[in-house]
Amino acid sequence: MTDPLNTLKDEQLMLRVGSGEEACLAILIERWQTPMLNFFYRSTRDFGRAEDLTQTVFIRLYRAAGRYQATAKFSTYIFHIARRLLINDHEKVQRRPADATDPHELRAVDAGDSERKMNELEEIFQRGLEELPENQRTAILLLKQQELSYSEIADVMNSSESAVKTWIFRARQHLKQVLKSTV
Amino acid sequence: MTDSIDPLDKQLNPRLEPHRDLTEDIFKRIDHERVSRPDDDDAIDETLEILLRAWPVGPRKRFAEETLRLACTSEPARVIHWAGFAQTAALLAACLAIAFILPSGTGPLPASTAQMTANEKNPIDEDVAMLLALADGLPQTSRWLLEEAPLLTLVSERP
Repeated sequence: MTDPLNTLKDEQLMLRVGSGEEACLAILIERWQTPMLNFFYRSTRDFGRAEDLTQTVFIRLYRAAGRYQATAKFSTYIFHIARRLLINDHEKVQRRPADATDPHELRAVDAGDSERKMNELEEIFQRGLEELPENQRTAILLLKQQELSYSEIADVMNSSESAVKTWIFRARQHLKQVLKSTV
Repeated sequence: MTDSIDPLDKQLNPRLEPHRDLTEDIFKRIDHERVSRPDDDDAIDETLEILLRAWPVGPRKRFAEETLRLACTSEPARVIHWAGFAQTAALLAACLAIAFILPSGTGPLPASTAQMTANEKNPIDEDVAMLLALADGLPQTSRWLLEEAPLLTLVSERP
């Protein structure tokens, strides 16, 4: 039988978390862990960091639940938190020595031809993403990977829709160029 | 019940099926022959679209459980919030006390406490007593401030 809490919208769940219903937080985590993990993974290229950041988002959500007001879409709210964490994390990482792990080591060594091609393409794409300024990368990921609208992205990033469109256009141009020149 | 969601839609919109391991399937849609031709702009566009939409990683088993436990054992912010508010209020009260109580009836503070004799009636004594009584009712931070304030230290060390 379906848990009646599962039928609630994210905003309703969040309000209930604020009144102490931890079961509602469990549902929010179930719903949002994969989107968060993938957003952070694409932004950092580091699964460990992506996990840490994802967990921190939910800790922040829980702590803020008492003050939460459903004035905007939950997706806007959660990605706003995610982006702030990402920016802080990026600043911390820049002060640390770079991770020497080669991403290829994380993949199967005896990969077949098609898998090898795929890994290469993925690697090129991920590097291209990494080269983007944070605002361009976040904007294009929120649009394509997370399917937010332009106005929602503008809310998340405290910016105008026209600025968001410009960032996305530039990001797309750069990524296309990277794929063209290296594939 | 038949699944009405198109399998390709599932690949492009992972929210429809959030727990699958999606990388392998979605990347098979990339036409590697076409994408390797730099003049094929459409192929590059399609590939970029697939890569951008892909969700290459999934959560570990028990990740949600761990996250819930971490979140729920963290200190809720509303407690911190109210504690912070109380401390700020107490701090304000302490500042007001210093601003209004100390100067009342004392005139200018003596240049040196050593100038005072032991028998001399000192109105500051009463003020200090009032402040210390007030401090008893304040949170630790504010008490610390009162006790550590250089002016009060000077007064309280008077013989």
